[in-house]
Amino acid sequence: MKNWITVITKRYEMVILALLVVYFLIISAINPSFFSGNTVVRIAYNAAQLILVTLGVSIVIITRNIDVSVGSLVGLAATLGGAAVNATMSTPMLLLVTLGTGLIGGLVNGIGIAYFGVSSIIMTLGTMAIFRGLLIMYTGGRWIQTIPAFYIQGSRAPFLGLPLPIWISLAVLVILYFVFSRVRFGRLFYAVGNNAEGANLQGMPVKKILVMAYVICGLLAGGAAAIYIGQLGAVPNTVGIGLETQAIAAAVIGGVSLAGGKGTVIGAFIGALLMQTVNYSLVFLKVPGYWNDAISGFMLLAIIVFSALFSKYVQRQKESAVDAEVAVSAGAPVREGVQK
Amino acid sequence: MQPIGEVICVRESQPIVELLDVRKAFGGVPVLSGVSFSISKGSVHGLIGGNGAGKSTLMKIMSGVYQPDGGIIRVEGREVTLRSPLAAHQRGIYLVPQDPTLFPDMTIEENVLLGLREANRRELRQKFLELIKALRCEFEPHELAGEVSLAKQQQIELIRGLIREPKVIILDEPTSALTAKEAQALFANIRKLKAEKNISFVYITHRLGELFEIVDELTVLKDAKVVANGPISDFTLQRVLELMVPDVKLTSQNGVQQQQRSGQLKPIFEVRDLSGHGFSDVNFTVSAGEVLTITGVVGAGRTELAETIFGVRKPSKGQLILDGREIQIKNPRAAINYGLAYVPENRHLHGGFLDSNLVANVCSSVMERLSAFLNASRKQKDLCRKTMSDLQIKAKSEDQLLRQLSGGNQQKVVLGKWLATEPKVIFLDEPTRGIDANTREEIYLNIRRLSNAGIGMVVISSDFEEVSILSDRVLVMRKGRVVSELTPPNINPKALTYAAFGYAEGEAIA
Repeated sequence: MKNWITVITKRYEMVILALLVVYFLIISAINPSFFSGNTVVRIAYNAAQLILVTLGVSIVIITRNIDVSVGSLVGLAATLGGAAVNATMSTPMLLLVTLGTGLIGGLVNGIGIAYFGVSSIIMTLGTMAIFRGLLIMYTGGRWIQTIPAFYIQGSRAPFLGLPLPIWISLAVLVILYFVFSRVRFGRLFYAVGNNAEGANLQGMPVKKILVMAYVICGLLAGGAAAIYIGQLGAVPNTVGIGLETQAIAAAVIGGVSLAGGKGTVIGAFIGALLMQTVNYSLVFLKVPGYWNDAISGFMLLAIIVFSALFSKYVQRQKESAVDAEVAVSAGAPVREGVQK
Repeated sequence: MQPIGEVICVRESQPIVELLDVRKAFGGVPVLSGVSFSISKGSVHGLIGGNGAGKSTLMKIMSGVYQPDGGIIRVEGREVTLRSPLAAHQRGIYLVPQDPTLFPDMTIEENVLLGLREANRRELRQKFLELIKALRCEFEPHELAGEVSLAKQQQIELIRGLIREPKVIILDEPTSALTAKEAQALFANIRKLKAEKNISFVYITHRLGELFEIVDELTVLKDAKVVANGPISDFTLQRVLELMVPDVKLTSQNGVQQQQRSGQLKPIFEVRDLSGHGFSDVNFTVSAGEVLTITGVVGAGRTELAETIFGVRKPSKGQLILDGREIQIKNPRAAINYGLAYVPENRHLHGGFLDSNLVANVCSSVMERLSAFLNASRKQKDLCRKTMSDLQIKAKSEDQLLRQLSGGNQQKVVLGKWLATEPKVIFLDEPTRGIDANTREEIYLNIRRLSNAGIGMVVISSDFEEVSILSDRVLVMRKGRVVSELTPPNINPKALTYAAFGYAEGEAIA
């Protein structure tokens, strides 16, 4: 009884990884052509941009905030980046523009939330509309097409047998894992998410940490945009729509608590992979692609409801233990200190 | 040339922290009006006072959480401005708050070390491990802070302070959640740190017995001022209690005072052996036409009691009897249906809808009774007007927003909302907190009027003055239990102060 509670709370990444494997095997049983190394590579390749966005959103959620603008930010960065590479024929220029857009977008969110005290859902709902609006204003609704072939091929180039985006997502995971589990700077994000008031009393730079969370999220959105341009070879005006839902769902499925201060980047990474696997498997299950959004929304709600019920259950177990302890010590004399 | 011995003597007596004429007001209400005292090096300085005397505010100013409106703070003779907790830490002042402000999902080690900026983590860790050993803490550095007992959490807080090598540690009611044994362990640590590291402590407590055990100097606050200050040898328990008895300023108007009763009272509501989170074995009866107050120091378990009766929390045992029949209250809706009403302490958070008009507020508790569609709005308006005239609510019209009314009138509207349910018993939690004297009188009159109309009135209040004016009977709670029951003519601020701090007036106090 106590054991499985400990496993779920302490080794959640393992649980979700097992879930991913089981899901993969079930789909393979239904459609044997799903079961191949090729499928794994394809899923990982297609998951790269969702992984980057999920990792960014996770860091924001760990500080007990939210970012719903990240899909629009990916869209804006991809649009501007696509236009930049078309105009300059230069990869560094593309990276400068996509990452720069992400950085600025993140700064705007972070400063508004930390220093102007706007609640994070309101702030990012606002910037979500603004980023999307800027994208439409810039393109006039047209697609950015004819992305130069050198970038499309370069960005997919295999390295040690795997396409570059997979390596990028793994590299980002390793760096973030190190920073957010080993380095004091990274642990401050957890402290802020656990107890912002307590963090302030400890003299921690709470506001700066909040800005940094959004800046990291923005930069990763910029990176995701750069990958996206190469993967699709064009930038439609709908790019990034619904991506924030997918990313938030993936983070939560991966064990990042919306209550803040809990969860790991590894969990978020696996969550994103699971999400992408589900999306990808729909093809093999002959389910229309239109279902993707509804399914990710459903998975998000199912996980949130489940984890709320679960933590309520754990809480009740704890409380009854505490009350039992109190009942034992209740026999103590009440009016202490009276000396005769 | 002065003899060297004297120079040393002067140094020794130089205070580590001095407060001069520190003032602070919230919303025009003074919480500290010119507080001065000083803390000697290597001593334990007790800070006591009744509810609302200004202790918490004073500490928050000393630890950089609040900025004072005026006055001077000196640390080792140098005037300082403490703009933030970090600034206070850098000056050597560390606050251990009453409720630990830990990071529950992080390890104990991180809880202690994460707030420190020093680059040499290995050395810090070593220091942390030494402190665990020195304080004889029974926890492992890798345990999660949210999963250890309150006593251990407090030790973590203390270590968080000690690792910064502070000059002064402020302990805010450190023993309130500890058992006697845990408290003794804490005292041993305080004595040790005082002797070995010459650290000063500010010790805030509601347990007066502890003062004579651990404290060297004492400052007593009352009504935002220092009323006494000096070495503990100048004080006796008797004197400390006398000092904290509030001055009665209000002269109550006719009709508010307790009434001489004749004949038997008709009991309406009875609580038998009720226990729950934060209180245990509470018994009382509320009768028609009687104002029962429940008082005690903050944290005595009064609000928890009321919330449990009202179905917000679950009781662990006990019975509730209404009109002679046992009832089960599973949730607030059930309580309302039985005819119980609870007006909570923080009316802004729990009681009223600030951005709705008065009609909506008054009718919010009786929605289903009024929603017989067509005439609903007519009925609602009538009910609201009637309530406004009954309770003398001062508002331009029933369409005004609750936010636009004064605090006292907001309180009346919230009361009116509950009256609309035609309750048999009303629980009022701190009905006059933050309300001016005139409106207070009106609220007292309203309470008395409702009581005379046959409604059982239970008032929860920390204000001994208010309790003295209002009560026909008083239950004094302390640490979750009812420790005494007072009736007129024994209801006065002095008797209440004694009882609330765990002593009986006239009892021999050593």
